[in-house]
Amino acid sequence: MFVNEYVMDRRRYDKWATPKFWKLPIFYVYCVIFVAGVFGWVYFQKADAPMRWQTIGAFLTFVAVYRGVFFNWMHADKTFRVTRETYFGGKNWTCKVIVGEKNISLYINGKMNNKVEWEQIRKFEDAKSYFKLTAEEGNEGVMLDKACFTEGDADSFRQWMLANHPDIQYGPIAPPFDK
Amino acid sequence: MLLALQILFGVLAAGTGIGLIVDVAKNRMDGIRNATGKQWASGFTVGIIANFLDTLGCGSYAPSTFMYKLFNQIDDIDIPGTLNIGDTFPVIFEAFIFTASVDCDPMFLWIMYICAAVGSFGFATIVTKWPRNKIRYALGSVMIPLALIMLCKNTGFGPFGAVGTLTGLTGWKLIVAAGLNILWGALMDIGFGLYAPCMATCLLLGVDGTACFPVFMGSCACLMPACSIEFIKTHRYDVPHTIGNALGGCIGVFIAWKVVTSLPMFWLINLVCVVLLWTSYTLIHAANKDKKAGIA
Repeated sequence: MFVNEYVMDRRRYDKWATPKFWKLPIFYVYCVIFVAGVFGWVYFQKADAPMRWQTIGAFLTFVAVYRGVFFNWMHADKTFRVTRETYFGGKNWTCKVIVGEKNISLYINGKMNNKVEWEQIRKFEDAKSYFKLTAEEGNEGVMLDKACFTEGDADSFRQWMLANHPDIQYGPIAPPFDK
Repeated sequence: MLLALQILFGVLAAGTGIGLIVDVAKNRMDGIRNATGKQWASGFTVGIIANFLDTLGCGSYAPSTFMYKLFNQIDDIDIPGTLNIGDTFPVIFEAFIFTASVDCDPMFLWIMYICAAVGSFGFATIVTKWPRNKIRYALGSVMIPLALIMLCKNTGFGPFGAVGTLTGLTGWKLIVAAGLNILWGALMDIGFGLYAPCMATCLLLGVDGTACFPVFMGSCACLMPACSIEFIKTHRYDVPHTIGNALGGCIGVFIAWKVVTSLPMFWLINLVCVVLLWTSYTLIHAANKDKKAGIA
């Protein structure tokens, strides 16, 4: 059995939920949009074109910077703050994950919150500082901080997983989330 | 150059579009195969009418919900997701055609968009604690004199001066508009539409009637896709209605754009005043309804 216990604070949530924007393929699309927007804005200003063309340039640059760089972080940060406010009275919450032979038990602030069966786990993803046991939905999963094992440790957990659950696909996490 | 820009806007809409198509192809093909003609017709009709009204500033959620219930072709639980995802495309389309056809100061636009985003993301935890009904009464009450002042300005009656012709704001007016856009962005988190209050703010500070449109449409276009992604992930939307709403919505937006850009300024301002009064009515009506139901 392995036990992983950590406090979910803003920094941890942002770290786990926000991808590195420069490693997302869509970021390069936004780079192109940004360059086109800046070019259009400056060019139309110099060319004394109607202001609506500059308006388009400005709109494009804004959308590129906002969506390409800030959006994911802002969205995750807001989700965390609203969750903390709505469900935990404005306080960070403690997560305890007990990995057992039959299933995985999740406790929040000492109370049983959820039980995940091994059949629901599709992937075992390995990041620099955490493991993710990805469930069927793809974006949902059980998170375990490598530095927060109170029973067992990261290396023995990895070995145990590979030995006991060879059917769960093991591999590195997607590069944008490898933190 | 215009074509290149249009393609780039298409790319923006494609972000949500790809998410939707991938999810439909992977998980929701049954939804398309089993959809009846009535469902498609309902989706398209609601999309066209609601987004026509949305482009005029009335908002689309209330009329869409009303029509969905009237046609009775969709589960109530799927309505919020369907509206969010289905309306994202028309809203981006709105922002595109209005920025492409209306003169508006680029820096003014940038500042207003940033403020809406800051409001929506930075103040979410604060506004969720605010009493929704009191804000509804306050906003609803303020909109009535605002509409009347705009009518007076438009007809040259009283001491309110003439209707503004500015394409952007500077100085204290810009600070006021930016501050209020932070507030409108924040109020979106608790279900208040940004269109009408943002339009009223810009008009009262002297912005030209048509130049207000890219301001509030762009602000919403930048905020809406966040919710859509969440609904796509959880599969909480009705496929034929979402697709119908997205496609029909773009048609409704196009028709409304033709109306707005071809209307003489006098009639456009009158139309805006009607929208403000309508918004005021819907806010007060919703507040009364919740009050009767015992919801604060």
